[in-house]
Amino acid sequence: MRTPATRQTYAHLLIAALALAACFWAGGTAQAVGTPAGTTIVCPVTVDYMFGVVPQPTLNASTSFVVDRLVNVTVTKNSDPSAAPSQPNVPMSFRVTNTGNAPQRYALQAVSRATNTWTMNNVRLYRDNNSSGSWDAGDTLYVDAGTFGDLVSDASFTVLIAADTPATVVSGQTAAYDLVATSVDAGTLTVSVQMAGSNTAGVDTVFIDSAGSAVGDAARDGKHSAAGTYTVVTASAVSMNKTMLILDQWGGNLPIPGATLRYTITVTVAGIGTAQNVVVSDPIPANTTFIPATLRLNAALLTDAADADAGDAGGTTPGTMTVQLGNLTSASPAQTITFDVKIN
Amino acid sequence: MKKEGRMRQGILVAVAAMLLVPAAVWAQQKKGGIDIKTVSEVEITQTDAEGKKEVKRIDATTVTVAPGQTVVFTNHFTYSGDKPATDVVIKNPVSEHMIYMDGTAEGKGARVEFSVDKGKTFAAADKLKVKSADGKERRATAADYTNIRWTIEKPLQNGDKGSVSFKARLK
Repeated sequence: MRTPATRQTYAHLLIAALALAACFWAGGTAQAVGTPAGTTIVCPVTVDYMFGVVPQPTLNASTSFVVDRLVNVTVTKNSDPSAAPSQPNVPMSFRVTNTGNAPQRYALQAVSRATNTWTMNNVRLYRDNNSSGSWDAGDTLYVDAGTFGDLVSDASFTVLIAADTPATVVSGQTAAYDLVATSVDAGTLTVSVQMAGSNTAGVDTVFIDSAGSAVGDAARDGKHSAAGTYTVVTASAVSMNKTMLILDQWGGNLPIPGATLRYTITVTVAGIGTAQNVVVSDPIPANTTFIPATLRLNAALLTDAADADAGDAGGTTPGTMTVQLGNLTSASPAQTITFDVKIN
Repeated sequence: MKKEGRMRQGILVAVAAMLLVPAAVWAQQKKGGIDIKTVSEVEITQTDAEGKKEVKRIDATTVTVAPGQTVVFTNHFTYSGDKPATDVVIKNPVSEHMIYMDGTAEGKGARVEFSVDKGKTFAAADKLKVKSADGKERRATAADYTNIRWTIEKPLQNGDKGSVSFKARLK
């Protein structure tokens, strides 16, 4: 594709020529999948000749044909999700692209692999309207091929399999699903049919799709599919990080008797599911003494007694800081506990 | 297209003429002594009973033509007249959505030239240059050609027949 010239070094004639060329190609609407079905290709011919020195009128003729319809669809998997037991609406994301040269719509099906030892419950299909990759209330539930409308050539949408994980599964178990997209004629619920043999002067239909992952999804059958796997993850990983800052009474950082040690414990949760009743217990180091009224959770001061607030200093377990963080998930902000002790 | 009966065809042509609509896939004109007929065809390789492969050209309207397909455009001409026709020049644009395939323009007794400026100027393939977006001049490639011109080198005499053709790929 040429673009109109901008350099001054271009001759005016050439600029005009290139501009014309740009107009010429603009009609082509450069699509990766090719000339749209139904386009009439016209090739005119002109003949000029002379009798001796006398030019004769230009002769014109032309030939034309109509571009046939290539049906091609490509399904790709975007994610292999982790699923916690009893987790609802676990999304598995796919992309469905119209790689043919005419608008199409698609009948979609989530197919559980025959080798699966367990299956997800309440399996539904949604169009991921905000391309978030996760299931949202705003996503459109698939009913039939008409639900998501027509896709023009080169266009695609993200499809989510949303399903609920059974309660009985254990960590490490997997279940594979194929998303199968079957080409359906635009504006209808009629599955596209390839014209066998009988070519017409009009638009014929030819399947050129590849074989997909699903059983029975052959090449050139108007379907395509891709597979994803749900993997059960039950354990949330709780991680803790502890740092210490020394503040001596002379304004320095020397660990001398009388210096204050400020401990900071940061708790985060990764993985799927909920870490329930997280409790942090930290013994006060030997040869140090807790400085009263310095226990803080996320910067908020906690009383030292074992009472209604989340933490205590030696109240639950003598000589130990105890902070109850409750239920945490990977979405929870990092929990920060600080307390000060003095070197004896 | 199915063959129509002669009567029916006559009526169709008459109706088409009344409506000022081109009557057929290819048009034919008889004027000044040259008959020009142009066709678009697809080459299909067939294997006969003896296992011999044969390339047949079939009208593009009767076979599947989808993106990627190669189409052969052929201009057939016949001349009839008392005096010779000189300076016979046949010109085709490379149609929109088509890409000319290098080295396919041919015609017996014809000089082939190409245009990269929509037919304003023509030159032999090795003389054509285009400027790319960065302003550098480069030799034109087949994909740059916008028009093809055949110049019949000898005057056409009464009864002379010939054809010129090229191949292009549907984008």
